[in-house]
Amino acid sequence: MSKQNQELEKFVGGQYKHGFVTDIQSDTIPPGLDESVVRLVSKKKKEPEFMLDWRLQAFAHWQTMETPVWAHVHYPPIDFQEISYFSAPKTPDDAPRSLDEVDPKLLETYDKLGIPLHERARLAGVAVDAVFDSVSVATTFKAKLAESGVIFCPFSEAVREHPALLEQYLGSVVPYADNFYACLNSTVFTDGSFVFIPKGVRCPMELSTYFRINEAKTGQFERTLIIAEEGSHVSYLEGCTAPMRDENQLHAAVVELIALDDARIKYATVQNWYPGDAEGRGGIYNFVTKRGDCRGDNSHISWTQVETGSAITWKYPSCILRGDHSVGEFYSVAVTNNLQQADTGTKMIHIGKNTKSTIISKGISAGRASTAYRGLVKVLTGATGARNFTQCDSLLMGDRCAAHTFPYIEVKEPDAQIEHEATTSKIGEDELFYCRQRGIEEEDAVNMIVNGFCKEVFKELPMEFAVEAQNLLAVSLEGAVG
Amino acid sequence: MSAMIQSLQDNFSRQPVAPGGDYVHQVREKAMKEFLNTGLPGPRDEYWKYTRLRIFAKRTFGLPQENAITGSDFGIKNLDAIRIVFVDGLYSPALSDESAFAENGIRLLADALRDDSGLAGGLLPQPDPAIHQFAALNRAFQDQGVVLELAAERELPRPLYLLFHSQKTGQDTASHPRILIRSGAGSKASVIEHYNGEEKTAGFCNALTEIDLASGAQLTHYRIQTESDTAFHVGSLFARQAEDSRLVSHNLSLGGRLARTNMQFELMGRGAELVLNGLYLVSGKQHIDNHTLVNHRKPGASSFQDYRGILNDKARAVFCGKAVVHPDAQQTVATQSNRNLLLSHGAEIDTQPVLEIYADDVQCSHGATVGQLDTNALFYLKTRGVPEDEARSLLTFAFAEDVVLRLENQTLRNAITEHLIGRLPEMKNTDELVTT
Amino acid sequence: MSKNNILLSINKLSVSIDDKPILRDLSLQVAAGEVHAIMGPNGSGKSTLAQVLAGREGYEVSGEVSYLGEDLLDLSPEERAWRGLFLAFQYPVEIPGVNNVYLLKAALNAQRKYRGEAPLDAFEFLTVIQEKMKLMQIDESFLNRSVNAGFSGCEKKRNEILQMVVLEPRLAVLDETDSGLDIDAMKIVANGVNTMRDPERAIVLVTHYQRLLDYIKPDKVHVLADGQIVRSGGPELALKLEEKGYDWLRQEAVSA
Repeated sequence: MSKQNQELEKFVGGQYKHGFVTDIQSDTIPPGLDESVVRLVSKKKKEPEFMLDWRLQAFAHWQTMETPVWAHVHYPPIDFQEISYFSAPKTPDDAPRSLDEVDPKLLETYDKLGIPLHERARLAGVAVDAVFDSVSVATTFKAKLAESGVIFCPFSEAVREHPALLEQYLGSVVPYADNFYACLNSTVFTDGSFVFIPKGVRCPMELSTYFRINEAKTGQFERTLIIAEEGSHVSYLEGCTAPMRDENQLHAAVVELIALDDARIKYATVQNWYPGDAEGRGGIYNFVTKRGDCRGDNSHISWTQVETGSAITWKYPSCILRGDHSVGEFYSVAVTNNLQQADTGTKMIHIGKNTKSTIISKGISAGRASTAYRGLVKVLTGATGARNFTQCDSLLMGDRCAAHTFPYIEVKEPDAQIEHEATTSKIGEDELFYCRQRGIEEEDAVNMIVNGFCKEVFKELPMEFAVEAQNLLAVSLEGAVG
Repeated sequence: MSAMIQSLQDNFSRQPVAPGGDYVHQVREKAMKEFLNTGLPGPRDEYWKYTRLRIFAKRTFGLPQENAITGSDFGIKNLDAIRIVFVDGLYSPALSDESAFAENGIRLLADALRDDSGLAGGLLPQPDPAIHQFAALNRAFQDQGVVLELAAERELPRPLYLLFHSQKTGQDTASHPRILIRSGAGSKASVIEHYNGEEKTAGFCNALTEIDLASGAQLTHYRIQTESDTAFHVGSLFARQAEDSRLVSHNLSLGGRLARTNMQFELMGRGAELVLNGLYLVSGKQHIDNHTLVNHRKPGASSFQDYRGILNDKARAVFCGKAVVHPDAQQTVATQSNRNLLLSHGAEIDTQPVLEIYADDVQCSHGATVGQLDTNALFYLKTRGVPEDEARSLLTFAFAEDVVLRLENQTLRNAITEHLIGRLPEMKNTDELVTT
Repeated sequence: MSKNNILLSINKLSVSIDDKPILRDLSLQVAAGEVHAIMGPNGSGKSTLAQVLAGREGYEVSGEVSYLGEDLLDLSPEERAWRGLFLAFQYPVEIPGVNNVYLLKAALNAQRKYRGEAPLDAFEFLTVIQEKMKLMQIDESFLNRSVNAGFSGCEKKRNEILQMVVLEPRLAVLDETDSGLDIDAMKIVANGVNTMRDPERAIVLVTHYQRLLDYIKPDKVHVLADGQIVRSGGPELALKLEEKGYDWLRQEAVSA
């Protein structure tokens, strides 16, 4: 086997590491992607005809596409025929049986984050489902939601139970042909979340993937669809504040949000997939397409993300501001350390009248890592009164890290007002000295200053998330200074 | 193959024998191959993302020809400078101050190539022809142009004014002026490049400038492009700066149907300072695209960039400004600002301020804005009795004025002010309100 | 004065930056209970002295500085702070996004930890700070604002003194705290400093003008010029300086 292939195997074929080659069980199919695999995935999910057709169309298109190369990230080419497209849920044999089998480094991190003991096992993927009362939690939850007419279920269930909604909305924000990874996802997605908030309903609680513990390992080709009907409100939390054990190297998720008239969707993500070790070995490639469609007048979509994990992050949660007076927001903290690479940002497409967008992006690079902000603000003809404010700040820690800013501003409407500001600097020596003079140790002073730097974004997160996000930052940046 | 490429190839085979003999001939041949290999930028070329050459690809351009000089109005009036004038792509001895050449280290490019054919490769490492195909094209046609070589500690007594003037003649020609500036240590100079055309001239000017500043050298460089709104203009500028040198680049893109400038600056030493001052004013169906790239390659250098644009009618402007701080280029200061004023429906601006930073002890910032005239200021002026139209023009002028005021040469400043006033329709009655 | 009372002992301290000498063989003893004023014209090295005492990096330093019997120059800035050394900055630093209250609590608890005391919880801390804020006439809304961000010059200086009265240092060095203060603020600041006077504690005021000394009576006044203490005396020295200006000393030095 060539050296490159060995590299590839290491990167892509996580299963090989664990000697998981020939023992193909009923719910795992061999690596490779062709039409029969697509049919098989659809069949295993017991999907209706329209779903299979859609997948097949996506697959046909995907075969004509090339992997994108424009992002400011570097990695060896991925061989898509080396990936198994239906290996979830993981077999119990594959997972560690107890916390003793889990990487001690991971456990150390959980400790620092103050993750409760029983949670740690779940996050580390320990195959002992019985310890959790999560099922009952989820059930109580579902009942309460059902009262108000909210649908919150696994994607695969929605395909079977709510095909009409799926047919209407699936791919209406991110068409399968949108980009290479979205197209791959459309072909082979296995599961994800589906949310439907009916007209006029304010979702009685924050929805979170946390409450669907049994679906936690569907990460590789996850698909989320959230529909907020007229006048409804929903707040959705995705992800988890502790590093997830996951063996899938490539994550290509798609998230679609649809907000009708006066609807409001708030979507928060804390992404902390395995970033690889200090030498850059291993780690997740997180290539995600997230897009919200402010389809109705006065609709409002807000993305908040804290990205500290993954070896490579490539995602641009975007808003299409189609409805008049619609509002799009993007608040982001992206932290990279060691050899991590992040190319992340947003697109704000102003179409309706008097639309407004805000972009606050905070990038922090340490070690030999690189963080890039890439953003598009586009104002189409007729989008009178469009307003955008963008603030992009980068903080550098260490003389071998990198920070980039690639904004694209395209304006075809003379009535638009666009303001973009960006700064890049290293963590301030004056600030550090000031804190230390007051008796605060250097590492704490760094955390304090970095958290201050990110405050505008953290305040958009629900309280308990914000606290954990702060801790997470401290863990991610450990050893970055000094 | 596009008609344009065809005509350029045809020109290439018919162009006059290279000055400076075989070596120059070989450089030209090689450069033409490089140009043809890359060809015109296509729709998938990120570097030309917002600028399409479709309309020009269909056009054909001939070789420059000697034409009778018809006009008397050549360039900026009353400018106290050493003048070198090119008319329709060819050097015009009658309009140039030849007597001042020798003592000031000035040579025509053809003479310089005859003295030293090594100059055919330019003063600086050659840019990648896959990106800079127009620089290669310029190299392939090198013949007309100027070389300025300033000895150490020398100061050019007057600005060098290079005028490239297009007359309204029968044929659309392609010209490739080439300007090489080498400033010795501690020397001081001011160079004005002016690309001008009479109305309805529709030629293709593909200019190239190379600037090499030794330590402590100071150069103020003006690039003023006021070609006709039917012309096609590409300008490439490459500069390299040693420690403690200072380069001020004024880039005023005011003319052309389609005009593109690529400017690339290499800061190679501590204390090097670069000031980029730019203005683009587009109206009608004009399309003006400015690309700047500043490479901070060594520690302790600074760059300050301010480009402003005014867009009217159905015109379109593109700005892409990129500052790269290379590894170990610590203590870099790099600032960049791009502000745009959109005055009418149908106008479009695409701006892309980019920072790429690989060192940590840096202070870098950029800002870009797109907007309209300040309604509060408009209101204020109206309450003081200024009619709306005038108030608009006044504020538009004020937006550009910061850039204009940075032009050190007063005669030039007045000429540009006059140009701006002429371009802002309601401005004509408000001359007296403008102080220059 | 017994040696036991000496808090800070500076012996032949020389400081330069990029080979440019700023302080030259400076010696100074500060005993517990004393208030010293260090005066001098701009550029005499006053602020450098304050920064070096607090542990600012980037200077070439030689000589000895002993604080509470320890080699001060050997300690990191935070270790000096834990031992009760406080610097009120001439230009207090803005730290966007970090709350005043958060910084103060973290600072106070870091010192308590060093002294082996239990950290104060949020409630106990608030009790402490509210009282001090009343003393400094600072509004409570101020606690939730970012450290010095968007503060006026006057607010920043008052914030420095608030931090001082909360942290209760053994040795407080106030670097030009009077600059940028109007007369009312000056009285408040002086009042804050005066409440800190204590037989166990020493205060070093670095100032350009005499006027702060109308409100805070120093025990000793030193004049710093060209990196050296050229004259020491009592409060009368400050008055004489006010009257005659720094040139008077220079001329005297020349004629001597």
